[in-house]
Amino acid sequence: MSNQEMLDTLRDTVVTQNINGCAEATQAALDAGLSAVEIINDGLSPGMKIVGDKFEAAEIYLPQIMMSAKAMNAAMELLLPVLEEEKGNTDGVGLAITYVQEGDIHDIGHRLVTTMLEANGFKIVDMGVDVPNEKVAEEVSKNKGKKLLLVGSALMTTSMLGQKDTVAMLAEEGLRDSVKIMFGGAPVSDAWITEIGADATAENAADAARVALSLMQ
Amino acid sequence: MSEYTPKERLSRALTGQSVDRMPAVCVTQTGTVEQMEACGAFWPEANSDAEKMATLAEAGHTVVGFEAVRVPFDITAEAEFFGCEIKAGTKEQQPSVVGHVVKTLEDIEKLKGYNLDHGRIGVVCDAIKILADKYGEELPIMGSMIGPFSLAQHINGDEWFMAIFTDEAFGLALMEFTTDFCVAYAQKMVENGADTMVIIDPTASYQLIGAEFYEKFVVPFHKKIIDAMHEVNVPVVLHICGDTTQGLALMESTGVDAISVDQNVDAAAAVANVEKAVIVGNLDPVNMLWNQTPETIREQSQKVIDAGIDLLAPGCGTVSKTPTVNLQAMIEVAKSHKY
Repeated sequence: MSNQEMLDTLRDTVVTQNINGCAEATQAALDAGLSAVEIINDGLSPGMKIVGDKFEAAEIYLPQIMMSAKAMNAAMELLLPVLEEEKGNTDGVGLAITYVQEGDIHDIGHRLVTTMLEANGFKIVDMGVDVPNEKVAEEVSKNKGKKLLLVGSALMTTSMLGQKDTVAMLAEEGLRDSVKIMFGGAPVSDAWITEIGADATAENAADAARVALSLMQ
Repeated sequence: MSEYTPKERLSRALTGQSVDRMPAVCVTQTGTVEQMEACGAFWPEANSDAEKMATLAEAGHTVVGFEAVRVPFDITAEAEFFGCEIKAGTKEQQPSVVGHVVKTLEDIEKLKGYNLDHGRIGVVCDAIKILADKYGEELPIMGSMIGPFSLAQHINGDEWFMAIFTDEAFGLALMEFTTDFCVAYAQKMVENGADTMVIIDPTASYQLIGAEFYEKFVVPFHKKIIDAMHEVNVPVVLHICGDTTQGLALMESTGVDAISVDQNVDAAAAVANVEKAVIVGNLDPVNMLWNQTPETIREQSQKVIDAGIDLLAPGCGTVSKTPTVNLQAMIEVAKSHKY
């Protein structure tokens, strides 16, 4: 199989939600000498891009997109240790710190956005759900100086309120200029983003990846 | 002089009969901090104490002016009843489901044989009894519960969305189970005095799962609950989040009386997409009802009514910090509208 054929197979296993197939194709590509970065950028990511486009076009829905994300994750498990070894390629397009606001445990959107960002070349620090603002500020502080993106989600209107405090806290600690901030979740609107002084929001996970990339320009 | 009691008016409006004016109701959660302070019944206690629950529900009528009373204020009592771990709520925040109890068909079997008097399911029924004894002649008594699809998601976790794709037998078995529970629970609420049933099934959203899954995993199960309610002459309102415009015809095919849509739905498009279902909605609970002035809310309310909405209401659960005057602005517009 040529390298291009292997990359096409990787792409297709993501699109067709073939979890085992995706992991096998990833191992085969590694064995054939492709780098982890090539596998992600030229195989898996184009697959997730197609999945995102199909989701936006209402051709597929959450069940399929979650299965594709699972296929992608199966590949990433094999690739992460290899990425660590491939020196100089670990920064990618930026470092994204993703989390769900304190008081909120709804993580479907968070997980999809994290996966899409990873698929688009971001290095990820996934802080999980119900994360207090102090922890967020700590993580930002720790990574100060890198190309940094903070990605917070909140599904509940009550936890969305905490996003305002997140921005305020980062400003107080002199960290606001060190990081771009995106917030998402059902109740988050452009008006809210403006009001609290964040940088952007997005319509869905595919859109979030596009917006994230443009923020990093 | 008013021709109908609020109870008669809502019942007629939901079943397509003529009325003198629009009823002013909220089919989604009504609790706010201002009401709690006015009536002395606060979250989280009002979620688990029948007297307090009834007191706070009553405040929706006596403090705010809604022409109905409605319980409960959250959608986690059902999952808690089956043993799911719950993150407790606060005065301003509803509880949420954090643990899940079903992974396999065998797990479902273990949950069978429950007693509806237990837990907060029993509390909600007791609160309905208190409200029905006090207001049952005059006001609609709305009982609300989570729908079977979202309950399945609570019980199974987010894996649920993949389960309906990869394991149909399990998916359908869990839907059977949650639906049987919903039917029994709804019947018990009616026995205790509920005269209007609200099904909140937020994640059974067309926007999330599309037509094929909705038809297979939602329609027959909602129909079962709605049929059971119609047998006892109780109209049913279905609330689902997200842009459900393209799914409205499917939603209506279950025989549901009214469909509550959120602010992502264009009101005129919603009305055009149903045959006879009453469309309820759809003021944005965050960017309108919570964060705008009464004047802006009146303007937007009028726009939504002009677009043809049948029952003016919040598009989703009322935000706990919403000012009473804002809700009253919406109520005022609803009450002054003649069809």
